[in-house]
Amino acid sequence: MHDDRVTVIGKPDLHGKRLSFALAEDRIAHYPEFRDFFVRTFDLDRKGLAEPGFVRAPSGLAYALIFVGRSGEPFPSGVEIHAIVDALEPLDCIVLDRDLWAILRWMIGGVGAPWIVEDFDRTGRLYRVPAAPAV
Amino acid sequence: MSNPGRVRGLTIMSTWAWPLPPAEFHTRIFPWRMMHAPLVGPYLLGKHRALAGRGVYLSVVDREKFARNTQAAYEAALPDPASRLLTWVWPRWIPLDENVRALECFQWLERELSRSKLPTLLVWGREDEVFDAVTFSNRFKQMLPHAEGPILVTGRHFLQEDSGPEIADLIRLFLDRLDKGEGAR
Repeated sequence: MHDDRVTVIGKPDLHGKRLSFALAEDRIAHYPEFRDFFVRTFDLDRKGLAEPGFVRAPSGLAYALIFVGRSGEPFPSGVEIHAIVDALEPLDCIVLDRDLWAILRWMIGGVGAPWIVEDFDRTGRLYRVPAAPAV
Repeated sequence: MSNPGRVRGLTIMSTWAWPLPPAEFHTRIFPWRMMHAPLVGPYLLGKHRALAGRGVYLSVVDREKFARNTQAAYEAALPDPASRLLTWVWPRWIPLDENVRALECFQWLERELSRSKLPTLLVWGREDEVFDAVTFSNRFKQMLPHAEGPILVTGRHFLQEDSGPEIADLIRLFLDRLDKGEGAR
């Protein structure tokens, strides 16, 4: 699984789709460089809350990154990741987990040093995350 | 420490209680800072129960015994991501520098402990690699010179899993001494 398998995309066609909640973070700036990454990647200083960020993950599914603002804090203060799936179809949990792994790995690579994907992979292996790549 | 009138004595085991410096382990990106980083924390510790499922296992000496006898209890107590919230929220409160929100909390804790005359027992995991016995138990001893110990027992950070009965005996004897008025103050 490689970083280039997660790509930023424009707003997909949402007709016949639903948003399936996947993961939430309410303190995206616990390490400020993570917020900087999302601001930079999705032009959030200009776009604000106008629209989510969208990425396509290795499975081919699109994901919406819905940024959360909180009074008194720099924007964004949090983010929710939702899979965009067919409205009447279930979401395969294994596919979702692999996609989330890829999205987080892409995020770590984008945040940049001292955050490196090798440390992310090692952490995943240490804690036996199924989606973590083998050595 | 906010209500010392209700406290008879302290037992302090394999931990820390001051704002800075942090344990060297807590400054590392792999694995500590990575595991509770934004989004990674909710994923790894929430969805994948990294603490109850693997973290405690890695932080005991006798891992086979822990896996056989105890791990299921940790997992049962933290059955879903909501119940595991503190496993990634709490690590984010550990101060790494002077800009963190928990700084005042730990300044207060250090100040109150330094003033404390409560009878105190220090018990430390001999194999604790996060809060190593030499550095951390000695700092508590300097802070609380009247404390008994440190007494070293077999154990890493979750030392109660390797030396539970021994620690219980130490505490029971400590309380017996308090009953007899022999506890150091």
